[in-house]
Amino acid sequence: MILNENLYTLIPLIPLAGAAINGLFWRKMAGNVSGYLACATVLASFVLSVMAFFQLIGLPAGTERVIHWTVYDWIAVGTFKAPLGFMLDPLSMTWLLIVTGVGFLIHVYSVGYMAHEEEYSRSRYFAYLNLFIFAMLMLVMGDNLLLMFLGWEGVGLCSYLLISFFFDKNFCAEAGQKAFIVNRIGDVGFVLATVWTFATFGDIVFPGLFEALKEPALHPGSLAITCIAILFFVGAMGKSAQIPLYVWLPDAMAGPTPVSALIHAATMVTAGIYMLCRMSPLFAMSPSALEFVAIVGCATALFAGIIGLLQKDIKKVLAYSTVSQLGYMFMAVGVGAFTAGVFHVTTHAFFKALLFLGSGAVIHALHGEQDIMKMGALKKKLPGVFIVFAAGSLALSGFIPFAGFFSKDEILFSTFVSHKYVLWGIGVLAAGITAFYTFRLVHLTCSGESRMPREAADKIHPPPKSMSLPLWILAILSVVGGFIGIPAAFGLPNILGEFLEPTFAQAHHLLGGHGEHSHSTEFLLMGFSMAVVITGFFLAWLVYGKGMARSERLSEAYSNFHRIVSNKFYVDEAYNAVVVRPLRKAADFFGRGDLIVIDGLVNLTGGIVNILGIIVRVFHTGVVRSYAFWIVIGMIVALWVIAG
Amino acid sequence: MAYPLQNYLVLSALLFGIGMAGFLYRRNVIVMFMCVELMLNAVNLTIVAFAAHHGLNVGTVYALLIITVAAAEAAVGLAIIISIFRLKGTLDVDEYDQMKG
Amino acid sequence: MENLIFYILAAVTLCGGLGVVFMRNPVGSALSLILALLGMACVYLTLSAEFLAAVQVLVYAGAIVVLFLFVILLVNQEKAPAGGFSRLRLVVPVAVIGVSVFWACLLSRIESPEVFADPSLGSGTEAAKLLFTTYIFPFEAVSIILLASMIGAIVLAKRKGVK
Repeated sequence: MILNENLYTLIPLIPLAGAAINGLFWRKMAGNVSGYLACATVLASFVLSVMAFFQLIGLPAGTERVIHWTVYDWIAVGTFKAPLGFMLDPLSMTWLLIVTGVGFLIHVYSVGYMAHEEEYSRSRYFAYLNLFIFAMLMLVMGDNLLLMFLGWEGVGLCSYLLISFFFDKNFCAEAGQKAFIVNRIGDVGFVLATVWTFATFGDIVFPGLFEALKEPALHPGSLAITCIAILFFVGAMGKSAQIPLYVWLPDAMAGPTPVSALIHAATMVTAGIYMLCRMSPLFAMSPSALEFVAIVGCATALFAGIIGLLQKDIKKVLAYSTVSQLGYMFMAVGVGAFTAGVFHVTTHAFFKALLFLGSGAVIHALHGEQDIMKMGALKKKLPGVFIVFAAGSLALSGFIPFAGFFSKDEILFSTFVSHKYVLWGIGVLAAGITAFYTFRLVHLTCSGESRMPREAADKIHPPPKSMSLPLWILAILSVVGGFIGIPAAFGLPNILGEFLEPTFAQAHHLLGGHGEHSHSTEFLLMGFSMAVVITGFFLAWLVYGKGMARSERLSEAYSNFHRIVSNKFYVDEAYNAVVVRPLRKAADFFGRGDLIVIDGLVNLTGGIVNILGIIVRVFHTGVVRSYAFWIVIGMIVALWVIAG
Repeated sequence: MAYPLQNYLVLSALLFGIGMAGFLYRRNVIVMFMCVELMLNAVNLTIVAFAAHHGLNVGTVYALLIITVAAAEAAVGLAIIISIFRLKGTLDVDEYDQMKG
Repeated sequence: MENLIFYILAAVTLCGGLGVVFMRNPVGSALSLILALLGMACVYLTLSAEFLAAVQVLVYAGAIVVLFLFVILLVNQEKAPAGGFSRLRLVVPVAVIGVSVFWACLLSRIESPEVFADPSLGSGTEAAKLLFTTYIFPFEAVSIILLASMIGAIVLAKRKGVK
């Protein structure tokens, strides 16, 4: 059925209203009302998104499969137009469903997870969460770069608000600050790229922009296009935590676990991928930029994976895993396999959210314990959690036929087929590392001997329904979610690929098709990656399978390696020394300068007035006759002036 | 009959100058006031002279109004002087320096 | 020589003025002020402003200067009258008078139209005609000023504590 497009304007607005109500009326919110309200708003958005989806696929396939409407002419100055408009095409539709769907599940989970907080805090939390959904929806639904940037900034803001949710703890506040600032650095790239795009192509509204990109007359030369593309990628680096701007994501784990699941696994960090996919026609015009993206993504995948090998905090392992998987997505985009990137975003949203929420259940059960060295043997006490956790881990490692397998395999296949063998090799290595640390995580948390202190072990209780239900739903999605993107080799339709084809048609046209490789190559590569995954599992079992003894011996034997990797390659310390401390010193310097110079100037003005007063006071002798004298003088001068 | 205009203007200017000189020169505040009256008169003469030489009657009216205002001003001014004399005990203008600074 | 009368009148007026400035006794200053005003009244007569001359004598010389005299005598000075001449030297008044002489010489160069006014123009009737029609507003305003100053003078000059 065809509905009025303006109905879909409600999709971002309903969560915004929820945020406003929760934010303004927090005093009146009793018990769990704030949570229910927040869940209801996101559910409403999800339902509307599903309706929009069905309307969208009702449209004929091809470039007409777009619902585009303008609500209001926001900015129109000269040739610069930035309307308040929304565009639903297959790409944004995908994101819409992920954001509202997974978002809804996480909202439900949050109701259970945050039940211990006091009501005022809960209202604040749900207000922020709804606000985040609003911003993310604006980001993906906006039809021009400015609106996307509005959402971009909005999610950055909400990320800050939610990371530093427990703001009375210093490290939370600092983590929030770090996230916001590092994001900002990326945003500079985004803004510069937007401005440059407008200057070159004269339009920032997407349909018009993509038409302008086809005009050969407007092409400014490959260097300029590469620069614009790389500037956009810098923005993505900040938002999606690639090297060198990834350092905020591990620290962001200071926020509540559902926040980590929603923002730092499923939605906000994927905004960078979304932006690159949206600007795919631009990127396709610059192969060197794409190459750069691929290299950075690949390096990040490996680097973060290595760091994740030795982390002790359950959430930090998952954080570095997220960074690593994001690297995979960028690698996919970098070799021109946009669909593979989007596919991995979707599956990653499922299984990473699942893993985070599962770890949240573990933390909740252990009353706040996050150190995996102090866990173990949870599969007996929390069997349900163990099962979903295992499902998520298998998906993450890329075990057939779980979701992660198909998406990761498609990425690696595309890389191989584009003749980027080095990148492929590193990608495979990173997949092995992923399998290793995933097994390590699950084993140390759930299997083996219990390393929990006695009191903690006695107080374990299983998670409430509100938490376990989303876990099960996500687990099911992690298992079957991969089937929407089955490669052609199996003879089944690639649903996602066909769905997304119109969006990427322009880019694919510019890049030229990949060579058709035989299906046998594909099966061969699939088998090879499975073998790597199994090897990773095996090696991890060797090290950690039988208690901690072997791992401790290894860490002593290779103590240097162990130390460097456990300390995250000292990247944070390096940043601190090279960037943060000099900046602080400069800020101090300018601060004192401000005190001396600017305050001095202001005081000087006052001082001048003071001196003038002293001078003028000379005339106030109080002697009447001197007044008379000056009156006469003044009269003479006035007459002189009048007479000319 | 009417003398040439310049005569009146010269007289007026001289009278005004004398009045101003007295205003700056004398220290007795009442005499200063009298010099102000002299200046007012000089101005009066100028106005009437000009008006008469244009054949207008306005000068008379104008001068009338000025005289009236001068009377009012004299009344109030002298009242003030009396008050100050009661306060200060002297009519020497140089002693009235309380507004110094 | 046809201006002889004018010169005599002018001399009288100026002498009166000088007397105001240079007489030591304030009563003497007041009396020379009367002389100057009477001279001015005669000058008005030459301009055919008879009404104005009459008003000048009645109001200015007759009322205002009398007021001055009252105040001078009220402010009782047993010893020599206070406030002699300024500690400044004679230079100041001389300079001022000199400047005005110079200015007067400039003015005497003005060529004026010899318009002979209708002698009847200066009469009271003519003045009244203007005063009560075109200039009614200033007339009323001035009367209010007089009222205000009257009240003000009474209030200001009252001794404290006297109802």
